[in-house]
Amino acid sequence: MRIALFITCLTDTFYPRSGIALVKVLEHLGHTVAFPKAQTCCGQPMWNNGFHDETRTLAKRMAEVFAEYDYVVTPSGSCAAMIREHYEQAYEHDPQMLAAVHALAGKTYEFVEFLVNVLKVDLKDFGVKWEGKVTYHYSCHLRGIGVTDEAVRLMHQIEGLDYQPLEKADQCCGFGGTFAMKYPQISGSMVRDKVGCIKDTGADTVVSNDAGCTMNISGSCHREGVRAQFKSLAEIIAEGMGLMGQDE
Amino acid sequence: MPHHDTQPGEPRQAFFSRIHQALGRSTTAAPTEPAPAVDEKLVRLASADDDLVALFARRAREVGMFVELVTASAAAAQVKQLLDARGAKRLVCQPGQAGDAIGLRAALGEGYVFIEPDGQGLEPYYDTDAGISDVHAALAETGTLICCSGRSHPRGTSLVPPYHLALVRRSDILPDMIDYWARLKGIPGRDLPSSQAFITGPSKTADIEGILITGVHGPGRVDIVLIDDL
Amino acid sequence: MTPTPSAESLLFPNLPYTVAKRSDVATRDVQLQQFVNHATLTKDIARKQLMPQVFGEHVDAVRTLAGDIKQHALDHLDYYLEQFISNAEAAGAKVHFAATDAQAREITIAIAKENQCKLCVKSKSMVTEEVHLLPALEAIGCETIETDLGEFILQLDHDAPSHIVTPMIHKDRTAVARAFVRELGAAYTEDAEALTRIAREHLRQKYREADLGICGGNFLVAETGSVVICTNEGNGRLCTSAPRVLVAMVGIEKIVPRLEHLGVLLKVLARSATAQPLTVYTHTMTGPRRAAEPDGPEQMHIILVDNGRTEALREETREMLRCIRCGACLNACPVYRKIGGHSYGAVYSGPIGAILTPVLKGLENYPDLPHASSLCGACYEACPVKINIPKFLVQLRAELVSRKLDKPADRLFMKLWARSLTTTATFRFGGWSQKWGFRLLAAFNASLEDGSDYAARGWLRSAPGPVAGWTQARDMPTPPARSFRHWWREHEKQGRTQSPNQPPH
Repeated sequence: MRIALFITCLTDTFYPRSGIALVKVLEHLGHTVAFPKAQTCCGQPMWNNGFHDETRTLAKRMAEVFAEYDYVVTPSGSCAAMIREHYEQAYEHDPQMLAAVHALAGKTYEFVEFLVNVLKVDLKDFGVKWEGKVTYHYSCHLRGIGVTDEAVRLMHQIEGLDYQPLEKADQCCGFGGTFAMKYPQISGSMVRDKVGCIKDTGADTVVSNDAGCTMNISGSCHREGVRAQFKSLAEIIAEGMGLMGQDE
Repeated sequence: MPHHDTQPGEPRQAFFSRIHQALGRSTTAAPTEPAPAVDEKLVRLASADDDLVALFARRAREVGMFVELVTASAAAAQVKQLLDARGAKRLVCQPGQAGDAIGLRAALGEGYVFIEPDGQGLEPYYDTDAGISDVHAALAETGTLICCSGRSHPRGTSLVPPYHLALVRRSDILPDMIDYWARLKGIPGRDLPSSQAFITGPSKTADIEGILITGVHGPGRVDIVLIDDL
Repeated sequence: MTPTPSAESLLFPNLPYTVAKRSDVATRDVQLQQFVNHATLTKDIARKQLMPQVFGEHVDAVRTLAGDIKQHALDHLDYYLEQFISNAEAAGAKVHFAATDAQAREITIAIAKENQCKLCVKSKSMVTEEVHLLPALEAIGCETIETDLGEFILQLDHDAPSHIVTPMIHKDRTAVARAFVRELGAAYTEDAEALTRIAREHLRQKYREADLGICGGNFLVAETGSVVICTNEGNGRLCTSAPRVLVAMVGIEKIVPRLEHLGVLLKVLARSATAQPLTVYTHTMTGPRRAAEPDGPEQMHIILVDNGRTEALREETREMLRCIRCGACLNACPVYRKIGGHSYGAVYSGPIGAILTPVLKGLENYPDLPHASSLCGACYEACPVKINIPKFLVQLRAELVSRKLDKPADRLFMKLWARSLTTTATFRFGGWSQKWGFRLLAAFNASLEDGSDYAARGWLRSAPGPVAGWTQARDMPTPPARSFRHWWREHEKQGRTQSPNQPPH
């Protein structure tokens, strides 16, 4: 199967290590990962802000860039949801493009979802070990793609990982893209709520698989003086498989 | 009502023309597709196969009503015992056929004041201790009592006194709300009672800090005497 | 707590309405946060547990069916309304038509005057709030009492409802105690039970004297001409049974084709609202009391209200009118939990209010509402009639853009940003300049961490331009020194992958 990575703009720039880990895990599982360099952004910021012509331009580009692959895997539930839920809305009056974005939507997966629901991986088969007290933030846009507790199931397959459930785990952290900048008081109040819940778990590591949520929650932890390291599940798995290099 | 030439509000035609415009047509059109069918596979929550008496009693208790299962021969005594236990003396007693069947009026005997409706409204019921009614149906699915208005069925009985005692016969119990609506199928609105009240528990509020309080406007206590062999 | 603006201005503020002014105050109100968080969270958790417990694997299909029933009724609103009117009239009710809020008030006033009504008892109804009915009745000398306990307290305390189902979610019992002392001359008590008793006694007297009863309607049944109201306290039944004249004021979107459809909608309404199987009283009213009936109203008037609904009935927004006012979206909404209902500046608050208000009252009057959401989707997941609220929020944002109601600076920024994403070179330049810009700022405040080029980052406490909003509330992490693309180039050099132009076989 031909797997392409859609890295997303935020992960590329802000969380490259998540992307690195994702590639290493898939390669370790015996797959080959391609990275089409012409990819840019899925257009979610434009779509969510009502700039729909601009979104269509980007959606078209995405459909072309990833046309030749069987699977598109991305470290972001949010960007996966954009492609799967909204591209078809964007092109509902253009049958030709609708077919193209429908095809893209049908083969795009968030990384954890891909591991669990497509590759049907059981981490116990790989002896993944990772020591630490971990809590997990469920990012909202996983709802849109029907992902529920896949990440938690994987965490339970990791030896040494002490999983601590988060209160209000599925309550939005307040990121919401431009919302965080337009309504800093509301967004700030929401993320402080999340940080409070994280603090209550006593976990030293927060697993967050969406770069936007991670920027927001870690930024609030940093402001509020709550010490916790943030990692994507891909990083935890790659570390637990011993795949990450010193300088990565 | 006196007729006015210049009634306030909008003429019906103008009102409908905006609706037509929004729907993209110029006159009212009958639907070409049928209204969605009520798929019982999805929404039926109780069926005739269930133990309806047990289910009804359980659900009614869950929503805060008291249920006593008795035989017809013991029912009247049970009612009297409940009334006495609650100290109810002034009664709105409209227990319909169920009441007749268990000979309630005779069994209650002396010691109670029976308040009769005056045909004018709810006024007679305010200064009373209990309302005794039968039901038009009961729903096992939710533990619901259905009380409809009618000649010997004042609205006030189950509403105004602080305590409502309902007689429910086994044969009154329908599995699911679906079955009640099915019973009304084809009856034009003008032949329906003016009031059909589904009662699922004592009057409740949680408006003050979410604290559950019963008996805010309607009865704070609802007892059900469930007659097993009628 | 901050001084409360008048009830009037809470729901009917100056337009255009700005969300941030009130929401900023609300987010600093610790007490409000506690009340609203607790009340909404409790209900949301209860709903989430109950729905699958009752409907099993069919929860989603049941929501679809409930939505389909409402959608069908709206698609054929003309047909079903005509049917409703003739059946209601045949049962002895009089049907009136109100195009606007003013007409809804005028019709009610005319009924009150014609019947010389002096005292009105009213059960909870959103549409009567929407048309601002109460002050109009008071103005003609018809004393009007809200009888729902929450609404009664709000009326006494000159406050306004902040939740569709639990109107005084933003208040605590001490506020109730003070209002009862001040307005009813009651002895001070903070006991919720005792406070409820005081209200009961006070309102009982009102039911006895009232000559006009007003209610709303949860459903209108076309095939029978019935009006259905769902309440828990019993005030709804008293208001519709005690006075000799009954007025039911109902929005036209409440129509359902047949009684049997209530067998779906009632099953999801109370469960979604308060996790009850049914509200304590579900009252189906068909015409005034019949000749043989010993009690009930002598007259029943039904006022069908448009007031912007035909605007929402257009195909693009019709789905919004499915709403059965269960309030589940408010309870599920993390934004509502932080800002409370009054921040929405209108009668309908929360997610459904954020889409309905701009359509009913003009997007130009409420340009902020569609953006005051993180688009998390919790509302859509909660909605028992499957209104895709996030989709409509985005649709309204697009309308802000197409009608040029957005801010020119935002617009320019978004257009330039979008443009930069259309070529790989400009996209990469954007990422690169963001990285070095942020890292440079972080270097100035010496916050750059040591460590891996792909993970060590810095933190900004304050940043200029569009990021300023971000750093008002939290720190901004900077990117690490190297991007993923950089790593990929190294990775490729090691020959462990193939270029996308040479796919494997």
